Formats: sequence, structure tokens, C-alpha cells
Amino acid sequence: MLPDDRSSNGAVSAATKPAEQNEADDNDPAGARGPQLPAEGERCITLRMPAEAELRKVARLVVSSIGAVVSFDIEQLADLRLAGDELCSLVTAGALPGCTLQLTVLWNERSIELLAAASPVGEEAAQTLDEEWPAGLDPAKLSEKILEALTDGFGVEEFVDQTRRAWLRKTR
Amino acid sequence: MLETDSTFRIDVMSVVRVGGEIDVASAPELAKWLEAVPEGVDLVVDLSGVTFLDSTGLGVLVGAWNRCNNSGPPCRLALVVSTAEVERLLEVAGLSEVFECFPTIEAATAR
Repeated sequence: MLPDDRSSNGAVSAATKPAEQNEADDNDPAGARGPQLPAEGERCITLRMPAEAELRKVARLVVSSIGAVVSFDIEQLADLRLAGDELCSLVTAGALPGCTLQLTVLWNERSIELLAAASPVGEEAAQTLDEEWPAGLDPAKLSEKILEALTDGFGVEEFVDQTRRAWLRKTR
Repeated sequence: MLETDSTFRIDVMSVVRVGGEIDVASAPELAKWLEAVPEGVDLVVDLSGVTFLDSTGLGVLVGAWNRCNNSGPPCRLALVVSTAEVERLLEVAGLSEVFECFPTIEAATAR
């Protein structure tokens, strides 16, 4: 089953995760194997690639393709594609040289969950430019704002080992 | 791939047509095009050919908005938005009321 130990505001506490998630794994520096193995009726794909801007479209393509498998409608597919992109932006902000992005897609007949992790990442860079934004808008929170609107839940975790993880869930 | 085209009506208005995907990879290129528009010249950004836009691209558009409204000589910035995806993103991001949006380039340049 898809993980259900997440609150609707996106917070994920390390204490609620399986113990293996809290331990560094030399063979899995990005650490995005997912909170658990797919349960019966679920399927899973994991992408692992350099956290390069030019490859972002690959992540979008895979996410929207799986969305089509789940029979999301056109509007939901567009939302999912954007949400997946923003999730990748969240974890790769401040990516250091050699950073790896790992994106796991878990799905069943009506839901998709994305788990993204990037490592190594430094202190999160200010989003986009040193611009003065219109009143009431916080550029650093724009990705979160988009994810909040387009998904059924999301969360971001940052670790001291230069790995940042995030997840989202979207139901048909 | 980002496709851009710029048509200048010197000292009056600059129209930048954008097509393709605006994401973390292509947004810097869009920024260069928009920054090349002379200060104080009204700007119309035609997004009707855009097939994908993310928060990075929005940041570039906000940069152009900022130059027109805060940092440079006052000018007008209008967007041509004719796709549901771009319209929805502007709404979700809280920017649909910030930008002047028009469904066609004729409407955007008529004023």
C-alpha cells in the first residue's frame, strides 16, 4: 500500500519511518528507495540520474506516462507533470557537483506517489533570481504552494548527510 | 526546447513569442531574451506556444514584472495566455491578478 503515515500538511517525521530509512546506505546515496516495498497491487519504477537541468524532462515524461497508466485525465496529467517537476526542483535546490537525483514512482489503480531524493545538496539556494516579488508572494515557497494546490499531500525532509528528500501523493 | 522570437517596435513595444517548455533548463535563456528588451519599453510576452511552465519560468516572468514596476523606468508588461496549463499555474501561484493576461496577441497589443 502507499504510505499513509504522512500528515496532510506534508510533514513526515523520521520517527514514523522504517528504521532502514534513517540509516545511510553506501549503495544508495540518494536514499530514495521508498518508504517500503510496493504492496500487492502496487507497482514501482525508480529513475536514477544526474541532477542536471537538461534531464528534468525525462522525469516529467516518466511521471506523466505512469499517470496515463493510472488513467488520470488530461488535466490531472498536466497537474501531475508539473507537480513531479516541482518535487524535483525542491530536492535539487542547491545541488552540489556530482549530485544524483533519484525518483521513485509507486502506483496502484487509483493513486500515484512520487518519492524524490537528491544527494549531495548544499544549503538551499534562493529560488530563481534576486528579484523583488509582488506583495504577498514568497519565491522560496512557490514550489510548495504549487504542490499544495496540485496534490493530495506532499512533504520535504532535509538530512544532515547532504541528502534532501520529498514526496507527493495524487489520487485519481 | 525553448523557442523564442522577438519583434521590436522600437521605443513603443516589444513582443517576445515563446514556445516549447520553460523549465529549470530553459528559463535562463528566456531571462536573457527578456532582459534584452530596452528598459522602459512596454513588453508583451506571448506564451501561447508554451507547452510547459514551472516555477522557475514563473520566476523569470516575475523578474520582467519587477523591472517594469519597481527597478527600472515604468513600462507595461502583458502576457498572452491561451493554454489551460499556463492559466492554471498562474492562478495556483497567485499571479493571475499580478500580470495583465490576454487571450490573444492582438488583444495584448491593442492598448
